[in-house]
Amino acid sequence: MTNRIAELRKARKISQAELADGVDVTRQTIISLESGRYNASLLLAHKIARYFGLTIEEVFLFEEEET
Amino acid sequence: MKSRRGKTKWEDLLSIILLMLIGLMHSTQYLPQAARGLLRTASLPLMGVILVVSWYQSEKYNHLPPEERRDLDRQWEDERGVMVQRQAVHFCWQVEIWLLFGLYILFTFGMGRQDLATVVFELMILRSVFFYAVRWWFNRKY
Repeated sequence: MTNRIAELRKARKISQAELADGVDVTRQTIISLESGRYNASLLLAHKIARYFGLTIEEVFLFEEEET
Repeated sequence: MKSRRGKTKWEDLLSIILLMLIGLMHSTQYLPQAARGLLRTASLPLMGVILVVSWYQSEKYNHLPPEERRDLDRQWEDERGVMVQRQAVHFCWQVEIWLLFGLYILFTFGMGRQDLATVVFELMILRSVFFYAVRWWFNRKY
């Protein structure tokens, strides 16, 4: 699973710390999500998508070969 | 939400008390004279090191900028932090099993202390039974 968190965050000129504050996680979690080392839970994915005003599918890109 | 730091201070205190109890235990006749002397000598500086480290951690935390402090507090609740903790617990569990097994071998074949080996063996059995019981309970709960 890939995501557009870094892209969306940079487009909106939001820092990693601000995003972390907004979705109530640590900055390290945001770093891990952006680098693809960690996959968010459904709850966190929902929080992040809501933070950007988008749907989960618009932020998190599920690849077919992962099934 | 209550800060995790507040809890760890009590946990630090508890670990110090625990170490003191272990120190007292070592002064009994259950271990050979040489090992008892070595542990008695080592336990006091070790307790000192733990006290200094605890104090340093507490001071470091108190002087952090508010953003960093918030970030540090949050690491105990955020999902990645919880996952890391679970992995750490699992790793410690494995290490503990091998340490106990090593102790069992040492007491049985190295020191010829079957009484201590039996205690270690019983501890291993108790831990396993407790682990399966807790796992059963959580499975039942969720």
